[in-house]
Amino acid sequence: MISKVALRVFHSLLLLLGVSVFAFALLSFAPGNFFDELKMNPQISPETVASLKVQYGLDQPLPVRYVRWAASVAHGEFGYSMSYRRPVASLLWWRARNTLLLATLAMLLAWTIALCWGVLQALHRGGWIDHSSRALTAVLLAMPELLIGLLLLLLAVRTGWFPTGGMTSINPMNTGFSTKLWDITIHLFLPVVALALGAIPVLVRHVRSAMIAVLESPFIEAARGHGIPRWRLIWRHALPAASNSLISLLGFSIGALGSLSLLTEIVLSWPGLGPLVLEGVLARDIHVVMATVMLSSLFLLVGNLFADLLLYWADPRIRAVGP
Amino acid sequence: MSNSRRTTLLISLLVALHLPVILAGFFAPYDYALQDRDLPFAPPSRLHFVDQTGAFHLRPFVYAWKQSPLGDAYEEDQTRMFNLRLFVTGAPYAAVGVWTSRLHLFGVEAPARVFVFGTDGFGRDEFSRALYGGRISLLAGFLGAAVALLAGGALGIVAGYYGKWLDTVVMRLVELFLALPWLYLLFAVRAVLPLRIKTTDAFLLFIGVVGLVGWARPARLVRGLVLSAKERNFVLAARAMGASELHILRWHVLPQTYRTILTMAALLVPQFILAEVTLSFLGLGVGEPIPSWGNLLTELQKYNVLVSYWWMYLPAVMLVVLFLAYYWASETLEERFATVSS
Amino acid sequence: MVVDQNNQQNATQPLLAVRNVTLHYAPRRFFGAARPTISAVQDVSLELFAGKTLALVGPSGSGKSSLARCIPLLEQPSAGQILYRGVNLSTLDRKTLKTVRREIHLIFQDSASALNPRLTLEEILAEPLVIHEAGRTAGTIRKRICEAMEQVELPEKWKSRRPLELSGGQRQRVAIARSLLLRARVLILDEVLSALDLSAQGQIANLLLALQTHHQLAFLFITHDLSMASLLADEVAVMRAGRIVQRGSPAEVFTVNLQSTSSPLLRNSPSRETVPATLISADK
Repeated sequence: MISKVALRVFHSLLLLLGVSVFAFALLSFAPGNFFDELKMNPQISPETVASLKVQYGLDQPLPVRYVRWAASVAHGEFGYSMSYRRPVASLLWWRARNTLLLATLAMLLAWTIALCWGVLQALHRGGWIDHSSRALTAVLLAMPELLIGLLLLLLAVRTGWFPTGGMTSINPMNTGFSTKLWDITIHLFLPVVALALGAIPVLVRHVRSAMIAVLESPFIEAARGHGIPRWRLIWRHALPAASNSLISLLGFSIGALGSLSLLTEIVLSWPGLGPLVLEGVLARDIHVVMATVMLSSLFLLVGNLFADLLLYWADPRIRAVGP
Repeated sequence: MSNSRRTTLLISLLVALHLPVILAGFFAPYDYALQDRDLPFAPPSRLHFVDQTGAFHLRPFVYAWKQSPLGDAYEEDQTRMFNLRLFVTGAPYAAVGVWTSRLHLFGVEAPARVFVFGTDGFGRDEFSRALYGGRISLLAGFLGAAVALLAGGALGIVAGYYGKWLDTVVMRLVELFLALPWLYLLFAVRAVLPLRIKTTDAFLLFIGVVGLVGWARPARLVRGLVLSAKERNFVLAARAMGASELHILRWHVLPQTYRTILTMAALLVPQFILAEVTLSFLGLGVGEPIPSWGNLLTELQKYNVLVSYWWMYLPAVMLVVLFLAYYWASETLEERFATVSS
Repeated sequence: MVVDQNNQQNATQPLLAVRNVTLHYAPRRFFGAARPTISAVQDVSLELFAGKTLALVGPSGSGKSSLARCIPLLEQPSAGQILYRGVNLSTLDRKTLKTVRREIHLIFQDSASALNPRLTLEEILAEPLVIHEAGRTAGTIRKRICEAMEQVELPEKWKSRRPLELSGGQRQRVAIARSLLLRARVLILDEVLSALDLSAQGQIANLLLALQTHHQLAFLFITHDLSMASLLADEVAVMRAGRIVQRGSPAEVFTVNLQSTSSPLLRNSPSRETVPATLISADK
């Protein structure tokens, strides 16, 4: 079992390596970069640009640059951002934290709602609850994240109940903890709802079909025949059985945490990785873009790894059969 | 309702949604770049059947918009009625290839204009822009999906059929590409290129990138199908009859993949349309003055537009309706193919 | 062309000869100890003659189906030769092998899986012609298909049906029709009657015998049904764990040597009661 886990982790590391090479190669083929923009500025002489290039080590051949970059990454350094004039790492970590905060809360909300709603739909299969739910999920699914974000923004502006962006609105220095907490919560509310609304349709469909499959299985029939009360039946018997297929879905959800919120963060001005990568693209700041790509890839890989491990642990059949 | 009736309904719905966009020139009353600086952010024209005197007219008509005396809103100029006409002659547009036409489905007499979706900040007809913009977004979605499916399908077939090291290489690549979050990758590739590029370049680029990013999942699915088809007895039987590998591929293996590819297409096309819309929305895709649903929605990021001008949301509504249709299509396809055993 | 096209066979010359064929399976492993190779077929020799049936019997797992697949070279034997009209099949180039393959036809037990469920009967039957006789007009193809369907007693209007709309027996008829269209000379019948009900078994068996007489076909009849084997076969070979352990006429094999290695087969066979009484009580 340990060897399987180790193999899986090793596999993920290899993939991460491959991703980094790929990302680096891709971005190095940029026909232009930050310095081209600089060059166009008549106030900066070509010599300055050239010396800046040397300073940032951009005159070295490709493999050398990759190795240097990879080495620094291993130390937690992600290179230097030209436009922010700071090490990328300092930009990255707190943005990543914000993204994770947002995505985790949204996922928790989405899963909670999806589980309850999905079970409800499965129980009343074919009834009006089921049909109207499916129609509602279809509409939600068809709505782009973009639109959901914009509509919530509209809500915020019209009602004034929520702030329209950012993470805090108060001076953190001279306010108490509970005020700060409330402030962040209020700012979090809209992005979390936006993300959750985007994620729920897919989740609820899977929960519903998994529950239906389980509810129709013989052992549930038998349990019902024994007179086990309904709620106990669902929570103690049906859900655990349905959890198999749901666990891989959970893994995907976790893996998507890093990349899920990109657009919503931009639209609702939440200071996470999303706005960072957009600015990086607009400013041709290669290190920033590459670092965010790597980070979200890392999240994805870790999530998938986690999902596989969860599956191994949860399903005894897979353990018995082998890799 | 019965299966075949549902299918007919679905197909007609899809055609009805796509036709106005494909034949944008005919359905749109005006050119997408035609500005009217006197009418920024005008609301949609109101269609009337009854005039001020209370008389009923069979033919609907509109009033022109004019600025109210206070200058902060629009009111109808009721001095003149403009009848809504069908099949009018208007600005020329390229109908098919080089053949130009001047026929539009509907319009009103100059100097008034009929604004089905209102106008944007430059006084351009949103409805026309939405139709032309839809063309770009739809085309991007279709072509992107086509590239992803062709590339993915081809690689999947090669990997599944010829197996061994080829299969291993392709599958490792698939894993690699699946480990990259596609939106970020899209951004990354977009970052690699110059910020301001020609629309045609941006378009081709988008299709290339989406194909680069999107081939992995189709490849894996197709490979699985090919692998299982390869082992089937009827393939063995054909080989025993002396069939060449090419023949077997064509007659027995490939047909097993068609259904899955079609179902995948119904899922991928909306996904890629959305990708194009997202990119354009953020200013990284198709740019002014060429409309795309994405850059039509960019306006909504401005506070005043978001709050006051509800008609600017309408392209998004078109998008939602279209996606609902695709969603329904993919569900129908899945059901259809699941019931026919294979 | 190396293969002798002459249809007049010297009666003592086998149409198809299997000589010392061995087939190993070596499962691939990247890590861990190499698994021992499995010998599916070991040093098997057989001969098939025009107009005659050789029955190959044995318990499941004895290698009968593996051998069946070796003959048209669907599997490459690890050792030994398959000679068709005296020519070693492994020595043939692809083009010639393709021509030879039409004369050796393999029919499977599971009729449903041997026919592509997506194609209509017409397409299935047209396939052999498409493979081998390119350039035929659609009219000729249709005519040949009709003739073949007639010979196997299938109504012509079933052309547009799909395999899953037919019964097991009807599907086997389609498979047999396919071999007729190929103008096969040797039929390898791998448990073709096992999945059918009794009446269908009888009908198909009769059809096969009729076709054999009419076209002078050679049959390799693989089965675990001893009564069928004894009724249809001119000669019987018993296979066990990859080897031929006994050979002879049906009477010799099935009744006399009860102590021989084929006896567990007889004892365990549920169809023992149906072995003709004359054979059991024969005094040899």
